[in-house]
Amino acid sequence: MLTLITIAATGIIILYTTFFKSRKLLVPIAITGALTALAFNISDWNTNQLLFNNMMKIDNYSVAFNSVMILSLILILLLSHQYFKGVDKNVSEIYSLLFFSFTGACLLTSFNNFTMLFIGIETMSIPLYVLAGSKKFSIRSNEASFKYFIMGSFATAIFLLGVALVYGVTGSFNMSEVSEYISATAKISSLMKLGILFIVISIGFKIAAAPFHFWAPDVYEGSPTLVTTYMATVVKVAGIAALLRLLTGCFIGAAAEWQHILEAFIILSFVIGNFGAIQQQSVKRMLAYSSISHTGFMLLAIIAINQFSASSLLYYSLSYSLATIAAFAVLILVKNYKNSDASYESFNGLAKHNPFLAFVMLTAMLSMTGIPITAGFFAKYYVFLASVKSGYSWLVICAIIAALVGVAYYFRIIINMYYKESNSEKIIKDNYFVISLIIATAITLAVGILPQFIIGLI
Amino acid sequence: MIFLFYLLSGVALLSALMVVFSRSPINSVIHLIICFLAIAGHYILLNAQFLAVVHIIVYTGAIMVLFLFVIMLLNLNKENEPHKKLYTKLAAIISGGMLLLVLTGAVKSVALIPFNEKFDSQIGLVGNFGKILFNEFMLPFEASSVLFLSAIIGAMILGKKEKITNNE
Repeated sequence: MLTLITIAATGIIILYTTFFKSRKLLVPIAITGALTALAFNISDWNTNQLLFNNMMKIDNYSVAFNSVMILSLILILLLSHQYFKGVDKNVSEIYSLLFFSFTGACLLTSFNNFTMLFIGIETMSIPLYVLAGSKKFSIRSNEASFKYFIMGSFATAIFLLGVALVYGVTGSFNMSEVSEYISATAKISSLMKLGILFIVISIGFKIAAAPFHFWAPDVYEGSPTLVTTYMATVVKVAGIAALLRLLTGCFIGAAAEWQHILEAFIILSFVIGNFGAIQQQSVKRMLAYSSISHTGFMLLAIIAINQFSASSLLYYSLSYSLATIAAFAVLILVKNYKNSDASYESFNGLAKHNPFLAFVMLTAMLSMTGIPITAGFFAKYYVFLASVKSGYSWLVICAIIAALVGVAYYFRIIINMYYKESNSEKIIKDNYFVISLIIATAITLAVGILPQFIIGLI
Repeated sequence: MIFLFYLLSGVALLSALMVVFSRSPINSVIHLIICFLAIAGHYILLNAQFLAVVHIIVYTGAIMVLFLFVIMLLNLNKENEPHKKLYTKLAAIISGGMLLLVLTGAVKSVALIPFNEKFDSQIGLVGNFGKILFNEFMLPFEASSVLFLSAIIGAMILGKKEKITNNE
């Protein structure tokens, strides 16, 4: 609970820094707030609490996912200082919106009631609609904001319809009561099935799982890159953590119903994510499509529903978030430096004058592909292990093919960086930026070598 | 009572259809107001007076007036519907029809649940509603304040006047 309060309070404190003309304090205050929240969050470890009439359930699951998300938030905040350097308008509102959105993300990992789930989704999304359009004079940014808003509103409406149907059948918003009702009734009502379908669809929209991914490439491309980084990491991890909590904590009795839906999600995410990514010329769009494909891998952990689901999903979320942040960070620098549209060609010859950046990007790409000694390898390995244990071998075979296809577009960047010539110079980056890149790369390598630290946690 | 229920449902459905079918935006908005009033009538039938009043004040009052203002300011009062392509229409009809099929199928196969004896019919009155809101649903109520605050700040960011700059 203190985590949540700290995050929301930091958002409000940041608003007040508008009174100071200097922008120097902004990032330190934000990071202090995030670190305090992280400390409070970790202190909740092993204390299973049910708060406010069973509205919130804080257990190791929510603490672990919150930690991953706060780590992502800190890394993104570190990137933001240089990102906003050239912007002369006041950016403190953007930081506070980021924190308010993060409050919603924290609610999503620890809800125990459908009302909390709804408020979590909305609190996370509504600031994002604004953040996506925060580059006000860019037509692409406006388009991204508008598209995300319209599609997100539809998803919310569908979610509410689903919750209403579930409430109509069970007469309760509480997750444990719904779960009891499902296990007590022999035949699941068709309205209940429909409710589950609608809820899964709307969360599938939030995590950009195909076939509800259509907004993702345009929104990811049009939004300011920092916001895209946030969307691709924190929002996706929060959504997928909420989905696992919902499906295994509440709808576990109806597993046969939603597993079929998830199978379709996974297969379509692999196909559309990978083949979409291959065709792209812009790296930002490629990363958007690849995030759709990663959603497929994460859903693979959920569909397994066994004791490995939560831990493998946690590990995958961590490795995916770190790699994505590192990749987008390098993209920000390259894009700003070349003033280009972030095509593959702008990465040409990066290794010659910027070996550090090239190495960071190399680790990120290897981790996304799933090559050993980076975290991505064990992430995929544990997810596959979990689903094979539950008899989803055919899905794992599809996933391995999808991972192999992924090599095509991830290695294209690596080849461009190391084997192509270009007259690039050293790119200037500030200390915060370097710290963020070092942390992301170091943790990617560390958990890649020693996966048991994360995998045994929950 | 039953007669009122069917009357209100009929009015709500008809006006909802008219929202979609009428060509002028002003007509759509007027029909939407009628639809909302009919739904508020349903709330009163369910003994949820507070919800009915809030629904009328917020939706029918505030939001619909806002709609009318937007239509007036943007001068949308013309009957020019953009011409859609045939396959778009076809795709819309097929997907909408499939959704209708699934929904009616689900409703048809469902067995009506017996009336819950524990249900408190006085729950929708203002006093009882307030007690529920500030006891059982305290946390969602407080958490939504963050939502509103971020909506206000968001409106401020988007609405603020700025010089055109070309940086990121």
